[in-house]
Amino acid sequence: MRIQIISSIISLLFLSCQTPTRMLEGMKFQPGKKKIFILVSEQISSFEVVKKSFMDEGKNDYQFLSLNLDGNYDGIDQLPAQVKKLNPDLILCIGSKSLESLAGKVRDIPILFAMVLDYQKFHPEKYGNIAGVSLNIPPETVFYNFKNYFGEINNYGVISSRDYIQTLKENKERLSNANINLTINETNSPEDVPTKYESMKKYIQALWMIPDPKVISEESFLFLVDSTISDKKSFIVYSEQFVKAGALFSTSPNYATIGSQLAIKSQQILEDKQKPSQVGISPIIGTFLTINKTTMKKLGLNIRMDGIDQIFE
Amino acid sequence: MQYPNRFFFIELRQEDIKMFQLKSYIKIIIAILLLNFSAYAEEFNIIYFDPDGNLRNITSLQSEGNKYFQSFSPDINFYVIASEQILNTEMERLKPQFMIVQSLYYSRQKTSLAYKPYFIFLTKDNYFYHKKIITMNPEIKTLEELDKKVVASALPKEITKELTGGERNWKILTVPKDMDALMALKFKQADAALVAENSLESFKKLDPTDSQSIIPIFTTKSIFLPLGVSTKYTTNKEMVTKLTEFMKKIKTDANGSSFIKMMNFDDISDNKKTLGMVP
Repeated sequence: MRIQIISSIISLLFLSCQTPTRMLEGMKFQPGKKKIFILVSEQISSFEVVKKSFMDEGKNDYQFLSLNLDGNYDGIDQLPAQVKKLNPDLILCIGSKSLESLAGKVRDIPILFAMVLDYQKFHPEKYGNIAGVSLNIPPETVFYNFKNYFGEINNYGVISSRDYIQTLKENKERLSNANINLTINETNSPEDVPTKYESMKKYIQALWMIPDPKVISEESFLFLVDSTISDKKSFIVYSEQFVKAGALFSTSPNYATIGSQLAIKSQQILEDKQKPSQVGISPIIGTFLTINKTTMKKLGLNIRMDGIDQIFE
Repeated sequence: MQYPNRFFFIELRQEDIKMFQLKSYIKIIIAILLLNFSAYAEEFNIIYFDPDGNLRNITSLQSEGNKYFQSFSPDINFYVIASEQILNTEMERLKPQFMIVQSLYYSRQKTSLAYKPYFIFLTKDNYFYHKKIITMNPEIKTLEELDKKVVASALPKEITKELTGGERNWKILTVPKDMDALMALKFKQADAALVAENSLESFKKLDPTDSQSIIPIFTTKSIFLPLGVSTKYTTNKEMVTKLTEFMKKIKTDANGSSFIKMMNFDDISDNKKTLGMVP
């Protein structure tokens, strides 16, 4: 018994000293089914949901080998050569670091990616072997879901830094076709948020917060929570954590659906012989909706709750 | 000062002690039997299983359901089960005396689980609905033309297949709700979507421009709303009858109205003719 415990501790110590490439050395696909290698950057629950959903969908048709870097990026330069040696039919990268380690370095094997913020910085279109699911939720998805519960609210405001202004202007034009008016106020500092909000509040019925680090700070967020409630405006955010902290409504990704989207892309590449560049990069399709019931009461709203994934009080 | 209890035991004879012990054991055994019996007699589990329902918010649904049913009887435990796989493993353990089940599941299992319907849920006075396969691609006119194509659906894959005529060579994109399936179509992430008629109506209001491009190519058979049923585990039929009477007033009950709203229904009906129509 004592020997077993000691040997387990030694193995654990040995494993903890292993670099990712060392861990890959022991991996081998079996002959037969098509081979998919999954590389995950970190141990994050949402990453695991994506991976599990992807594997569940493909379990009858493919064999999988998976490596979680767990935030240990030592020797990551050797990863492309090691992955090539495994010779998978397709690679799935979950998380930024995993895509960064292989994008442009493995170019003859199709790569799918998910859970990568600002994937554009890896220039996937340049290589032709990369497709995936972005973390982008189209604004139509946000506003249609919101209107589906809260009714005819058509005037929205957004405060954004210069980084997102161009995209927002394009969104504004598209959204006008669906009778949604978007007022955009630019600022490059969270300190200016109160002034920008005050100047737009008479034109809007709801405020939409986007993930812009130049605008959001703890102070600016809390200011917007209090101000929107006292002005009887709805506050729409992009994460359930902000709803928990007092915002009214959020639309965020459903991670299992990302897995389902990736599974379809892998079939299109491996079975239908489509090129990754044809399969392309898709927006988020499945949504996770949350609502804050206390904020809702403060705003004097009463809506149906069917289809809401999480309710905070 | 003497300690009376201790004194009492010292004075007992050996035979008396044995008799005392025996009586105590008998009392304990009877108590255990009584406890078990009462627990068995009072346990009344209700399972809610509707994969087409509002199952994403299980915690709130379970909490609202428990609040409502326990206002009828504190002995009721209400469980919401999301997948058929979990349901199959939990049935034996929970032995539900009553269930609220999706009609398709009811039809498949009514013989093996000895289901007897007591009521059906209603939405706007309707006890059934339809789903449609829709597309925005004018070249797709039949289900056969969806071969190898992507179909977005908020239903489990097996049910999607069952409603659209069995095994097909489709790539099914599983999404949480109809609105997501419609967005998949709008953003060209799916070639077709399986959605309820009322979801389609909501989308038409939200996006009148894109709605004009929607082409329905198939309508499912009538899908009945979930049913309240007794099961092969039902021992307390009187309770089931009383429960049905209680639930007939659900929309006027303070806890019930919130619970039924969360399930996305308006009322229930115990009309025998209607119940007899469910296959």
